[in-house]
Amino acid sequence: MKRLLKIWFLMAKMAILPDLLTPWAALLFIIGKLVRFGFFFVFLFSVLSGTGGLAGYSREQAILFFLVFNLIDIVIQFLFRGVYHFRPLVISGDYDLDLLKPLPSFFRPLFGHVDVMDFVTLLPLIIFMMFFVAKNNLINSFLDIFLFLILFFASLLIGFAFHLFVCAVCVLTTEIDHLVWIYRDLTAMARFPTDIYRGLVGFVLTFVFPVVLLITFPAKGLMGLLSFDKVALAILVSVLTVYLSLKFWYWSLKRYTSASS
Amino acid sequence: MKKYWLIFKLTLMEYFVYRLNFLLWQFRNVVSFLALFFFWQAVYSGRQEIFGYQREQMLSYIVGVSVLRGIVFGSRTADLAGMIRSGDLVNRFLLRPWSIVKAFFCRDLAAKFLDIIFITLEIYLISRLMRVELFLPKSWGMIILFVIACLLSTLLYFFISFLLSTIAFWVDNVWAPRWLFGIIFLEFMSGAFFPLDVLPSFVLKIINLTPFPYLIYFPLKIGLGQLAFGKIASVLMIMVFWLILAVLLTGSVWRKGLKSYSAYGG
Repeated sequence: MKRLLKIWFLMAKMAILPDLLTPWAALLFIIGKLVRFGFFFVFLFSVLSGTGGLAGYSREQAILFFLVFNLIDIVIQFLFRGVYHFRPLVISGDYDLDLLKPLPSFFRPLFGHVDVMDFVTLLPLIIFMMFFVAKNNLINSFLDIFLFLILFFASLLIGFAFHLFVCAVCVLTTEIDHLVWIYRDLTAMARFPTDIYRGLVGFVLTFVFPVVLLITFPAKGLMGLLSFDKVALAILVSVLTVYLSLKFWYWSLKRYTSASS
Repeated sequence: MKKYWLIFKLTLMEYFVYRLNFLLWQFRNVVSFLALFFFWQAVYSGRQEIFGYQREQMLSYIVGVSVLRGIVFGSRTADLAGMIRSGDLVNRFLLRPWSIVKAFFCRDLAAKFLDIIFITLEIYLISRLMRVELFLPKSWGMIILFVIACLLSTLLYFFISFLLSTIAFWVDNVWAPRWLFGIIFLEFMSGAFFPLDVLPSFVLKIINLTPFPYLIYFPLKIGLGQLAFGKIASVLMIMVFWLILAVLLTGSVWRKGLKSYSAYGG
């Protein structure tokens, strides 16, 4: 584990170097991320001020869903950014070189790249979130924070599982880009409380692609709106998705043809 | 004319090389639409009107956004930046007997053609499934004004996007400015997520000083019949102003860029 962490830090350092070559571009990215957050916040605040709430949640609670979505989304993007750089490795055949190294086969595909801009925007978000939660008395007890941390970890596991699944699809088909973006679009649906999605869409978001577990459960846990059996369900599903995803990954790896090398 | 027709056909063929990616792209449009659709359904729960929009008008707005995104934002001008950086611009455009603006506009038309077909089909099916009652323009005059606004916004977006790509003549990292101005600012300030008049009025006043709201928001307001004739006339005149400015600026920046271009990648 210590060795893997050391390698991850090395890869992160190498990923940051190109960003430092064009600091003005990095600055534009950071401004863009903050502006996007600001626009959405102003939009939600304006609409929810007009309605007083959304789907049975108060304005502040609905905004907390949005903040938790941002937190989980940014951390997952920060950790598993490598998936965006995996396709060129497969197409060029350079992934062969990684398979020869004494590392888990999914290490480079998932953790091979770090977006430092995500990390920079993470800190102000966490500070703002803590301020927002404290100001609006959205947490009832320390147990809620503890539950949130457990559910947050479960979300990271689900994020890991999905990104690994996408990499496996890439090994099989070499087409990956839009699949990652579909993941982004589906998770973005949880900017709003997922209780608003009804019928087939609600079913898909709960049971097929568990956005509800990924974003909504941690937010509800933080507000003390989640029962213990649902916490247990989240842990169970996250472990199961990781297991299934690893199975699929190793299965796809056996079909890796290394075509271009 | 025949050569431009060929460019149009070749661009269509490019789209079908990676068919899975193309289908997934279309699926993304559906997901984006559904998120907004359910959000506004929840907002209107127990209400008939909010921010001056009746339920049908708001749902028509988000349906209109989905279609107009295909018409206005369906574009291949982002490829121009990559061609400039790689040097492909010389072989694929500068040495060939065609106007780069016309050639790229033909590529855009192909992108729009596919987008319109698929998006209209998808949105029609979803609207039927969700039983959305659409608010359509009530007179032929309104339809004509809406079409004129759409044409102007399509041209305006083409030149804005073309202009953003020409930054590649001077900088290595074109993606950063394109992402900030061509995606983040554009998507929010054009009204492609929500009608801008739900925002506080001082924010709306600032946004109205930029060309962005003339791409989606104002054309849709015209289509929804929410603007008086005098306001429509002034909106169209401002659109023409932005378009002329964008054309002049694009021409000037393009000529300056070509003078400093060394095509070192080619």
